[in-house]
Amino acid sequence: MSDPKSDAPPAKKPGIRDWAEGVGANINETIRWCGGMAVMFGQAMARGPRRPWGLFDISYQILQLGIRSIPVTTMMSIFVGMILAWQFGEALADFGATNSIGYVTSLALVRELVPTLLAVTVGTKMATGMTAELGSMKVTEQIDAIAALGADPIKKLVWPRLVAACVAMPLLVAWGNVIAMLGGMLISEAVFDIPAGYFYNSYIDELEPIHYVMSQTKALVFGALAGIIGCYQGFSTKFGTEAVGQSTTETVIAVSVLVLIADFALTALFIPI
Amino acid sequence: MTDDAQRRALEESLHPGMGAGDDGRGQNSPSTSGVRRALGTTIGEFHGNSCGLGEVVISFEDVHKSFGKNTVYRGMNLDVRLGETLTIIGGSGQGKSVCLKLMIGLLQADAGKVLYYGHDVADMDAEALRQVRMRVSMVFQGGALFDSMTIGQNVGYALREHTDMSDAEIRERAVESLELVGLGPSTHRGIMDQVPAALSGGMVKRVALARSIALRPEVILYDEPTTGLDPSNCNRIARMIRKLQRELGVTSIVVTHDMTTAWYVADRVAMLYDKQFPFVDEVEAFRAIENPVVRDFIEGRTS
Repeated sequence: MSDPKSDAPPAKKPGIRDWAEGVGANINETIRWCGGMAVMFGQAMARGPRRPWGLFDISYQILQLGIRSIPVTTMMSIFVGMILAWQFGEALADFGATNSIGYVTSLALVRELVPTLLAVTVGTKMATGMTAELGSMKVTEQIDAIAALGADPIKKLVWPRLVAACVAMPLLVAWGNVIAMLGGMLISEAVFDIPAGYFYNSYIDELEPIHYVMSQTKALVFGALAGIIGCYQGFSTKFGTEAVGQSTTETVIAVSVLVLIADFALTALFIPI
Repeated sequence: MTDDAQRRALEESLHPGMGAGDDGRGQNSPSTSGVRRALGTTIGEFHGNSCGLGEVVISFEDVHKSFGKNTVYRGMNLDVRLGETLTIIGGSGQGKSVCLKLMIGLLQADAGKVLYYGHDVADMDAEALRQVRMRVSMVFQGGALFDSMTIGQNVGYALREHTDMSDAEIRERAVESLELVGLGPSTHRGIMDQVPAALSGGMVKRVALARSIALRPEVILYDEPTTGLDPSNCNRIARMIRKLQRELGVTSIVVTHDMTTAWYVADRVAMLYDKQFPFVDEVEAFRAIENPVVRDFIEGRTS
């Protein structure tokens, strides 16, 4: 063991060894984190779908997570619809093919942009809300109190939020798809002189059932991710109010990153080479 | 301080039920016995094992517990006897509360056993643990009342969880529990529909107490019940702990570093020192311990 001495060499520069140690620790922590979350997900799935169903809690959470997110969903969707139609229209105009604007925007919006964009905004909002609420409950021992009173915190707190996120997210994405299309119609009519009705017809024409399935599957997965990350971060909050802020911040990063990774995986799954 | 007459009264109120092995306690305190019988939180019997007054109900055997590099217990042994009030004292941050959480399985020991009626808490399945938690209730340091619920819902939480009582019955029981801690609607109008944020610190602790006695537990664990309260509220809480022991016949374990409270409520005192409980004794004998560590602590000297 090294004893700190006054004539010891000055603090050594961070060398490659420290870096390597840091990498190891980080990887270790990440794996632990994923494992912990998977365990919580497993517990929720095992203990949640049993009597009593807790329908009141679930519907309350759907109200909190879903209905309260409709305004932001609407705004995000109409703008992404308008922006994408404008960008595609501009590019298509070079080929004199602006009349196919509906075809190209539909696939990009329904399959990709609406679910993903809503997941990183609305999904993150849901998840941070859960982390902040559950984290505060954790630091004030309310989660322990639920357990101490003989109830199951996973069943009482995690399950309703997870279900609500899985229900709310697909509904919001469905709503967002409609609104984004309206945004596209507005731009194609106003900017590129393509009649909104024609845009609508070509838009719907291009979409096949699998595209709706893909959109909704992504929404479901993103909703589940937001729900479980939000809850897990809340439950694993350490002591003190500062910790609540810290785990909430981590939730934002975790949801955004994992949504994109999951998005990649799902895209590869639905659109094989 | 130690009220002998009071203790004798307590023992008399407990013995008939214990000795005869029936639920004869009912004749002594009719307000509570029916609830106990209905909820199955009878004193002295659990899963076929029985325990007489003064016998060991909860025991720690060679318990080791650490959080990361911070060791809290090393080879810790402690017995809790039925019907007594055991006070656990010791410096802040040494992990006094941890032993309460070990007792109801909120934390798991790294090694060793935590026995309740001879059953290891760590080996229990979810259902057995639920039963233990109905019988051993905990009053958390900050109260830990549920912010999103009214006081009435908070106090009735365990009843809603574990019984099929109607809302009206649960409300009635909640009122009864609140009356026991002196916060009933008869004196505090509208308290049932208030939210925890609207209450003062002392009231929060008393509501937390009411919540934990709603199921008429056998053992109540108090985590620093008087910390952060003014002297008159400390006094009130301490008297309440005594009163609940007398009226409900509960076994109490009180974690505190407030010596006034400790002396007042305790039958026995245990001191946490060097990750164990080397000093455990009856109040009078404990006061007479000559060990400088104990003397410094109970006399508040900084060494």
